[in-house]
Amino acid sequence: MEFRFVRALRVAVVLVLMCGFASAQRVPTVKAHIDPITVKLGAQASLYVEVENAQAGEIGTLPTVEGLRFGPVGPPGMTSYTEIVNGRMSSKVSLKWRIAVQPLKKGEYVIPPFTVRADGRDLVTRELRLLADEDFRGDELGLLEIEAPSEVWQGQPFTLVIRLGFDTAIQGRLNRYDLALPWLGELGGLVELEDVPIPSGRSAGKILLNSRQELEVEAFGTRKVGNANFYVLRVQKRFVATRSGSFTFPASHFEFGHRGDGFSRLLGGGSDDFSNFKRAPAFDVLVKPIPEAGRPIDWSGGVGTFEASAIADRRDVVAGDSIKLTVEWTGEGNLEFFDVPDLARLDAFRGFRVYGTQDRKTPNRRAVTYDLAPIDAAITEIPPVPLSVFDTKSGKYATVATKPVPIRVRPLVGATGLSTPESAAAAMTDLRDIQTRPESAVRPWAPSGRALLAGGAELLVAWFVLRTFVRRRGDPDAPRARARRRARRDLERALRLARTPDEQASAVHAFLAARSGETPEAWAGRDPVAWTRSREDDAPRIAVEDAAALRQLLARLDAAIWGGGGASKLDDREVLTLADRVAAGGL
Amino acid sequence: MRNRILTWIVLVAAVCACSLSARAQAASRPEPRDATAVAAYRAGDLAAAREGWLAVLAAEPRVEGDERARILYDLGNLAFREEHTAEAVGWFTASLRLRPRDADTWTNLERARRAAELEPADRGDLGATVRRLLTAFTRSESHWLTLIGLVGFGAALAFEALRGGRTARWLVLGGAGFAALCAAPALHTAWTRVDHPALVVEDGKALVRSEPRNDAAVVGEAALGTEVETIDALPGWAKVRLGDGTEGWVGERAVFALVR
Repeated sequence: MEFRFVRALRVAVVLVLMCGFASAQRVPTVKAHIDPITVKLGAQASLYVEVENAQAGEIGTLPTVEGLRFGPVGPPGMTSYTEIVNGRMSSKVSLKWRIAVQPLKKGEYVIPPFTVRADGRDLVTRELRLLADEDFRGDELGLLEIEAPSEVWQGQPFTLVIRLGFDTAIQGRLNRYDLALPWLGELGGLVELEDVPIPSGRSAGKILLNSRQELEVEAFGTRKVGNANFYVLRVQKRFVATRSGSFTFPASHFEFGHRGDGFSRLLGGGSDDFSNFKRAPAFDVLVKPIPEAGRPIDWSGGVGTFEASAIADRRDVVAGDSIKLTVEWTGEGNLEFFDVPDLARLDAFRGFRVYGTQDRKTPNRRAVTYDLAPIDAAITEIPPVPLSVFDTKSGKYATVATKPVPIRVRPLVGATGLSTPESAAAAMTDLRDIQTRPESAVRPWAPSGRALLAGGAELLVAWFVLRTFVRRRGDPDAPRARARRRARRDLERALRLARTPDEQASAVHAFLAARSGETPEAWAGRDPVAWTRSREDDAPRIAVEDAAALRQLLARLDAAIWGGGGASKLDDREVLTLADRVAAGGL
Repeated sequence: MRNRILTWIVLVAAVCACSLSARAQAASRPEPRDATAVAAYRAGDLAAAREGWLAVLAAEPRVEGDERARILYDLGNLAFREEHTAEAVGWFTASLRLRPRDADTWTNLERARRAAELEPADRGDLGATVRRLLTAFTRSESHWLTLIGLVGFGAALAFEALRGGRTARWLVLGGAGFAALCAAPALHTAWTRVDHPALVVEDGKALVRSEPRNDAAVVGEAALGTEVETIDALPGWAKVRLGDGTEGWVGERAVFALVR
């Protein structure tokens, strides 16, 4: 079992090596052919280029063949497959391009060999041939006319009117319509503009344009040509030339026919498929340059024949009110492209403020709405809005102007200066105006920085000195000191609350105790005069006369207490006055 | 009763002080000396207006205070109208140094800075707001403010010395904070003070050279709107010190002195 497995593995390795060897030995080759080799004039053929045994490749420049148009060269399609021939396995990779080829006139075309570069090698194709024959049936049954101006001015839009159609006798058999305009997007200096819209109410349909995109066409009715009736469609395409000179539009074709769908082809259908081509000959359009001579500085870039009109939404306003002025330009010309006038830069609009514009563009109309505000009651009209254009009819520069719009501007009541140059300048620069009111011309006095520094330092020193001095007499925040400071306030409150002489006496004793640092009981029955005489010099005490008055007050309170129930209390103010004297006297 | 009388005395004294101060201010307000310059400005003769205002600035006795700031402001407007936006920034900045809270000057300064494609002077962020608060006072105002702070702090210290206690200590702490707050503008001014400040008004950037010669080596660059310090001068040249300490010479016209 194990032996079989090893053998199979060996065979596989040999096969892989052989395969690699075989593929390494292969040289890239190129093949090219055209299909079909005969086409009707207007139809397309395909040029197939295939390179085998190459991983990468590119087609160089395709040869130039007069009357033959090559389509764009896209990236190649890559195919890889493995084959076994005589027991040997080999792997193949091929690259394949398909390029559209369209003959523009009748004849036999020879495509000379061209180079294809594959994996670093240059390969050369063989010579190829293509036969293009006229489609007499298409010429008979189809219709294609292109109406173009013979000459236009540079910058002037022009319209190509394309009429296409087919015999109504075969209308029921047709399901494919393809308009081939090979010059579309290919002519340098020619810019395609937005299509002319189909008028509302006209029936429209869709056909193919250049086999790639859909194109909306206008049904234009039927036309009798000889004995046949043609169903006619119309397309209008607009262009503007950005350079002067002659533009040659190559021949165009209209393909009409029938083609079965993919499903019917699969079932063997397709035998009734057909295509016919109607050709329109090549034509030229000459583009004349815009003259430099006489070109105004304010030329807007407008080219064509223009008409201008203006309409204002309000015509009776107060100075400063907004007016919407809509200016409309119509006519044949490059309405989408010219620069609209900037009213703020026109001298005629000096009496107006221009706040903004709104621009709307269509191919046949240009409308600009200006937001204006007259700033002077003397204004009687909105001046004409001029537009400098190049008139294609006369071939000269001209100015198209609107008519003036009469307006009434009422003055602002109670306001001044909307139109004064001063405020206009302020509005322009958005600056606050100069100041003209004289101010104080004296530099105010202030303490110098050094003085402040010195003051700060002195403050700290003073605090330290004061604090030390105060602390020498004791801690001011001690309970006794706080009670002493609070004694007068407590006495006042206690006297206010006292109802009897007894309570008054208690309040006085509490006051004296707080001031002297003793208990209230110590003052019960004490003679203040004897007490003050017994005090040392530096101890708190009472002046002798105040002590005598205090002794009398206390005696009166005692008398009132012990004198019977009818005794009234003393006057609070008298007590407080004496308390203040006692405190001020040194207690 | 005694307290009430004291209150009345203080109130009357305050009213009298205000009235006296107003009278003193009115007395110090001069007759307009720049009427000719103003008339020339209004008439659009900007050269004559400039000459008139510069003459007022150079006149003796020297015009000081708000009046000087006003004239600097008017010169800023004039420079702006002449489309010298960088110079206008210089005049407005110089005016704000003398009158830092004038709304018109701030408005025009920001407008001129915008026109000169400079960053706003006040960007509106926290740092700029604090800086604007610190510089919202003139030198004398900041000194008075400091004095008020010191008086408050002194009162708190006195209370603490006489009474002591926790409340007094908290009061001292509060007083110190109040004093620091009041002194902050003056401290900021002292800290950031430059003797001869100048503004770079050269379009784009000014090249700082090692010597006052056009072919001297370039030692640095100063962008338009940068504040530098002028430390020396020679005819046509000014020696400047940049924010990073680099010293060198620039063209005299590349810098605008902010003290005028």
